[in-house]
Amino acid sequence: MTRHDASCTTLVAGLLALWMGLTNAMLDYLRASMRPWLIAAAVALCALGIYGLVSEAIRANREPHRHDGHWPRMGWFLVIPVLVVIVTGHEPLGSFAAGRSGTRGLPKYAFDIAEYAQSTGTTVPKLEILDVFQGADQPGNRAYLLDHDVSLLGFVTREGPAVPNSFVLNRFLISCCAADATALSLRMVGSARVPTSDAWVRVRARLLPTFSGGTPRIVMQVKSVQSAHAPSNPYEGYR
Amino acid sequence: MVDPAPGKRVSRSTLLWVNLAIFFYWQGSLHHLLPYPALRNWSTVFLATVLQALPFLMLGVGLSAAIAAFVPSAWLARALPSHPVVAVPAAGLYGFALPGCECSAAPVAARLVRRGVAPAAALTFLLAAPAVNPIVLVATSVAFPGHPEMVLARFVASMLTAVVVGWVCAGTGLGRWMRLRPPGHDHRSGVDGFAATATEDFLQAGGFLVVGAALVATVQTAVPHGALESIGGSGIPAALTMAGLAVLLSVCSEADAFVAAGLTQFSLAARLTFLVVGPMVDMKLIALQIAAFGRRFALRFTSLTLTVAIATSLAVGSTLR
Repeated sequence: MTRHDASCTTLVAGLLALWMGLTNAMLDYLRASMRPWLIAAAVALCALGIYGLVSEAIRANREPHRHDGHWPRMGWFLVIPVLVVIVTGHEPLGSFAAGRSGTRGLPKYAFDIAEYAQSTGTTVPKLEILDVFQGADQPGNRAYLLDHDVSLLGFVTREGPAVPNSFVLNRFLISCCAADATALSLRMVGSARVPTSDAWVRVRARLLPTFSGGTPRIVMQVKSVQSAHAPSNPYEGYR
Repeated sequence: MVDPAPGKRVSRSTLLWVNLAIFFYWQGSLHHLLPYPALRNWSTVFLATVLQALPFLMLGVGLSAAIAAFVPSAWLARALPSHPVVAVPAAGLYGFALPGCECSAAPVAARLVRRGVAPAAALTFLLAAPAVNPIVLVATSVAFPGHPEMVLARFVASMLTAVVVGWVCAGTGLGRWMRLRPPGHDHRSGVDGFAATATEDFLQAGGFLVVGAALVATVQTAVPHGALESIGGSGIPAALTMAGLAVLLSVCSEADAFVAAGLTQFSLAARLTFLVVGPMVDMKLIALQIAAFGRRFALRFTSLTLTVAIATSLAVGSTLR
């Protein structure tokens, strides 16, 4: 690698990270709170690249035949992330990963669904899938979920035993990035319409008192299914 | 190689990047030519791993370049005791001060060795920093709300592993296998030296990070970890499974406590192994260590660290219930 190659590669790595950080593309990969750090790293990379290009130009003017040393050849590998973005665009985890994720326990957190529903003033509160996932095992929240419809946003998979009129509603939970994601999945039964895999839907549903005995273990009765836009942040985080 | 006529010829990289910039405009339009969900899953995990590591890598690269350009050697010599038996634990305590994941530590440790710090002390710092810093310990206490002893156990087992590995390195002279890159640009001081060193360190570590992330994505896509996680249990087999899982999943040290907390089918001692091994040995980290110290050293060092980390976790973990 020449000094010129080194500066160009650093600048382009910075520009890719900057584009991710300034658009919502980063939300497909990282939790939202990483944004300022990603932008800071991107700005630092751009500054290094530009400084390299400018100082190289100045020096080339002064001493045209100066030998500029060797730069790490491994740097060429930084082309790969750019190529991957060009080929696939930015895209969150989908049904492929949902079907393969293990079932993990989640840290308990205190969230009163009834109180939340009252504070929003709606009869059908919009909840995260995580809320249902946790609430189904907490006495107070469980009672609420068995008695009320809730509105949930997620993407569809058709995994598991083929039950007619049923599908699985999923969201991923991440703590740092998509590489540490856990799928949160709920089985939806009694739906007149079964959406296609990977479609985003908003579902109005009510918790059923019995667990499925398999995975997903939580079962809900569907009241209605509507197509929805994918949210800008496709992942749920710990509350 | 000296460019025959600088400025007269369009360089390889200019051509490459201009082309890529043009294609970037249509990014994602080849998406439909790629009907394989596995490949698309690979690309998401790959980019997530690279992006997640980038800020921490830059922190490490910046610190490393600052040490090269602005810190006089005499300071470094005074910062650590000269005898390795004392210097190693002291270096471990310095790890408490680096607020980042494992990606920051490798460039800094390599720079310390190049500036004349004893390899054993620098390596102890490398192992201790990602596991014992305050951010990681707080994350651990949040992830294990009912088990404050996990925080202490993680701190003790990680520190013990780092110090034991450091002493073994000092005793056996493992550092002789290190192949540091020849001092290319760090003889310059001031801003120019800082920029040149930072660019060089970034390209070296970043290139290896890309390779490591590609491996992480391949394993996460090919191996359904749900299957591994369903093994569960306690005792030595469970601890070995968790150590393997830590190496394969390569979860960042700030996030690994949440993953471990969820794997309730494993005993606390087995989950402790995951927390101790993860920040010291994983695929992304092995790549970064090869970038910093060369392949021959990194493989020996990684095997040593893995063995000591599992032994220490089992010993410390036996006090947990």
